[in-house]
Amino acid sequence: MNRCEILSHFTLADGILIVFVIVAIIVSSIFVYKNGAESEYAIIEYNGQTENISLNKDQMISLENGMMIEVKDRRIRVKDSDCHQKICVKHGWLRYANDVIVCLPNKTIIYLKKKSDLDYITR
Amino acid sequence: MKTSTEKILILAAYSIMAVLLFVVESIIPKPLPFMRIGLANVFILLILVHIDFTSALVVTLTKVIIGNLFSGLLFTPLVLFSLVSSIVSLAVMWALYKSRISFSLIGVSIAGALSHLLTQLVLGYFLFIHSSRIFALFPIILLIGLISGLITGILVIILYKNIRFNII
Repeated sequence: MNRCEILSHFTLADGILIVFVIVAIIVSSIFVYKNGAESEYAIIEYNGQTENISLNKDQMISLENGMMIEVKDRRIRVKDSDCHQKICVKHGWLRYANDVIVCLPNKTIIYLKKKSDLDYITR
Repeated sequence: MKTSTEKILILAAYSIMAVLLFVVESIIPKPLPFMRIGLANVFILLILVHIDFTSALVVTLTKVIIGNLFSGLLFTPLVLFSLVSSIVSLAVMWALYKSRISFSLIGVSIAGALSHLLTQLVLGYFLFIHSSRIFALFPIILLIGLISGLITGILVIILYKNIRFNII
């Protein structure tokens, strides 16, 4: 079966669906990835609680659910986790605003915020 | 179509092929767990087109249960993702295939891949991560769905031309 024979199967409805999906990809990526500014604060959400962490100070944080978070050189990463596939560890460093690490087994999200999004930090 | 020995044999053979492709795809290392082609869908779609919805549902359930047993995820909460999204995707593909809109098998397959991934995203939002941050994955998921749907759709068209069952 050659290429032309496969192309002849495409119908108008297929074309509309593909164009619609491509437009949706472009529009949603503009919304999601529009700001790439360096960030100063990380937010960790787990077990329904939210923690703000400053990236200006190098530190190691261990969460109750067995995750080790490392902050270094204004970047943040999951250093170790007790989950099965360790996708969060392999994700590596976060540096820019709106970057996200998600760990499903530990129900944890880590993401970076722009400075202007926060009023103050409590410790 | 009545249940015959041949039908059972065909369902068994297609289930095994779907399970095999599912397990092989879970073993291949990838940056995101859902970044897969979903080649098992080729066989589910072929059964849906050649036989009927119930038979395709049997193959889907076999793929989910045996496939997750082999990849070590059965009896974890993550199997819910696989189960619910596979069934939703099958229902969407069946509805589009039966509908009056003239989708080819490529369009049906793209819709199946997209509905599979979007169901997983929505489930992830409601069951595990109660934060709208998870929707940052939206553009990546649409892109993966489009590409994998195209690949499986073309494979289905090639196989559809060349496979004929005697029983139908």
